[in-house]
Amino acid sequence: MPLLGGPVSLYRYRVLEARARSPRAVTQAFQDDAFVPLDRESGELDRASGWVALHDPDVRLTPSLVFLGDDAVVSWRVDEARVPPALVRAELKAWRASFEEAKGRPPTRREASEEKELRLRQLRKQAFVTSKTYDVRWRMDVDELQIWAVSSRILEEIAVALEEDLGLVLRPLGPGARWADGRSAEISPTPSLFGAEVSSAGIQ
Amino acid sequence: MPGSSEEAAFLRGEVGVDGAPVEEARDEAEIQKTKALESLERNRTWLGREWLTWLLWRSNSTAPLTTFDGLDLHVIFVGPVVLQGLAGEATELRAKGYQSAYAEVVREALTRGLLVHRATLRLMLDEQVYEVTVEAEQSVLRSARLPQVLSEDDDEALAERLMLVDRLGSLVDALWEAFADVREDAVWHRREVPGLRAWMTGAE
Repeated sequence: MPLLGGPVSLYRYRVLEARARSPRAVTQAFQDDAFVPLDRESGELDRASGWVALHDPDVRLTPSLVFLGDDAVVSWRVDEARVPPALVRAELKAWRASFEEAKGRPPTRREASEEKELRLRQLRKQAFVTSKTYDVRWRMDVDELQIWAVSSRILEEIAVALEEDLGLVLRPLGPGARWADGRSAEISPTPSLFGAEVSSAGIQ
Repeated sequence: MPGSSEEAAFLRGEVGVDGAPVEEARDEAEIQKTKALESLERNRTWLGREWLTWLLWRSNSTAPLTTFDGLDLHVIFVGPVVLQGLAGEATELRAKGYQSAYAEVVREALTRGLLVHRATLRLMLDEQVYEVTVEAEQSVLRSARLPQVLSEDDDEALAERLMLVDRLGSLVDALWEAFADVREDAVWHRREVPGLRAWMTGAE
């Protein structure tokens, strides 16, 4: 829970639109996409993700857990059952050898694909599950959203979840976006800083 | 009759009417240059690079860079610095070492069009000291160090930590606004750019 302690690394966004804003509606939206653990018995999926409470990833989300003053604070939990690819390859290699010996022919692509899926399901049941949480803070009073993560894949995943669950339209608060936000003057790169090649490229 | 992919390649100008490539594969240098230009254009990254490069120059003086809440805000670049742009074959330069950003080799690279893309800043506001790594393209506060949290109660400590994070965001914003005010004004080309160039070349 980086929001609670440890090094601070976060991306900031401006919230341009939101479908839900009241504590009850926001909490319900997070609750509707709450984290559901992996079904280890079926072994069908190797990844599960969803919203959990900041302080305790195992309790049901309530307004008192989601709201800290004016801020909505939750965590995005991702569980993954990791099966080492080398293990799958070794098992399939052994299966292929015994298949050829028993049937006198190599397996078809379909047979190999079905066997791979079967083996993956079995291995997922035994796989070690890693669990990570990424904190999200929506400062509703200033319409700023913070995602406490730096992986671009996770940032994208959380942004998509926020858009689907709460109708949040986000804009990164980078220098380019900031200029468009508050400055009217049209500007272009300073030629003497970037060199002739860039200025002649016509970057706007 | 040509296939749809062949027709699309023709429309993109990659193949001629006979289906043969219109030019030899682009060489590696051209590809790298194109990538560097795309990186510069994306989200107006060039503006972020101008900002960080201007900050580096201004932070070379012991004078405060701007004020925040009536207090002087001092900045110094610490730790590694990453320069990006186009300088002949080089599109990126990393300099490591305490205050390496002020090294002669970095200033020389700046004169060739490689500008600051990522840097670690130490921000000093009265007795409070923050450190944070910032980037030209996105609003990321990476690996930030905050002043010591003094509250002992858990809830109060969290509120204080979040207040410090918000303060850090505001300080970075203040540095951006100080730059944007200058960048928008005629003094950018009349006074700031000549001063910056003089410092890069050691003529200051």
